[in-house]
Amino acid sequence: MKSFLTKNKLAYLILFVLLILFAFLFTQAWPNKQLQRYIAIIFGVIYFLWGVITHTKSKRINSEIIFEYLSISMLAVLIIVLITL
Amino acid sequence: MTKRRKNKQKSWIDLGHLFRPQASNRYRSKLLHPQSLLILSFLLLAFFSLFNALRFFPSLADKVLGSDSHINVNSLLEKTNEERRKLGVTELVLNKELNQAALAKAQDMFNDQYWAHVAPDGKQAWDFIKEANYVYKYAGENLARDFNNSDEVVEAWMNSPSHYENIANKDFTQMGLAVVTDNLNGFKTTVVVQLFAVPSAVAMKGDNGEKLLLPKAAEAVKNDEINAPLVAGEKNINTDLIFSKLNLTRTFFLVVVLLIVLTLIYDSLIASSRKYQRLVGQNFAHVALLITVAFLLVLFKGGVVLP
Repeated sequence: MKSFLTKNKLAYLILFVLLILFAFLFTQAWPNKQLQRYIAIIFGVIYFLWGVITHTKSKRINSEIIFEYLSISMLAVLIIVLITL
Repeated sequence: MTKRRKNKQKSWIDLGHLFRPQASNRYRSKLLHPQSLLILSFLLLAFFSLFNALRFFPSLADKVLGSDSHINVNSLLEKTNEERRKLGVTELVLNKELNQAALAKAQDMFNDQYWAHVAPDGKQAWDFIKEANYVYKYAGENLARDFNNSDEVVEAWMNSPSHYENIANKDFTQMGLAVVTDNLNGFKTTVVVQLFAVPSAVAMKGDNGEKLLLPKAAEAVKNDEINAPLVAGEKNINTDLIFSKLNLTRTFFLVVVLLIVLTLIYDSLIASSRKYQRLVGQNFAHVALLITVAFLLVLFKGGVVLP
């Protein structure tokens, strides 16, 4: 994992910026819950794409990894969407 | 080996299969397999659906769910005036008739089970104000529900443009407030009604003689009629805290998120200590994402304001 981290410093930097941006936008959108849901869905898609692109660039990708990112993104989005309902 | 010992060993093996990367789970904790994560998503959905189905069993919902609202009229008045002071606008004073009108509006929402500015029978805030014998020139209404405290209510209104316009409107001089907790659509709900008005005796011209503008959220209606009065105040029905809907859902979701985060960390530690060569997603990225989700769950403020 350490080697993957060091080899993908830029990718992780982008991810952390996106995560902070996501948290910021989500809290700023309150009390507009509809907007909060849109932000969560958009970020879920971005996270999935981030995972696929990062693994493709490092040539460490297979269908199992794609499904893993898809399921983790879905779970995260589902939790946020359900809590805002 | 005794039967009990065999069973004990089997359960440990199953737990290991679920959490520890090993040959049986292709060196990746079974809980982190996409299939397991999808099953977990369905479980979350099922929990949420079952939880919401409680509304169809009011007696059970009353036993399990409570309200943890700490909203009261005095703190709402104080907080609203604090925001007006910051904006350099004169403070509002509570008016007895407007309080009665706000309480009547809140009670009407619970009686007819609706959550809207306009009742199913077409009755509007202005009708409640008239019924409370308040003679107004212009009026406005802010509604909120499911908040934990007065600060959150006013903060949410300030973040919503249409509600902000009412609070910041320099022309309003009086306010009516009602905080009522009762059963709305099967769940114990705290509703806040805030009415703003200018008594008809006040001249409706600005400093330079210009015509005053109406707030967007508040449709202004000219008052001609006077009708029957209502009771004033704050009404709470059985507010003993058991579990609020939001807190119960949030706690369950947090437990699930933390379980996955801990499994990801455990999976990484075992895989790196035993130097497993495997092609899987990045646990570190998943942990970062899920910690952000957990952080948002903890910070999440409930409550709904009606635009």
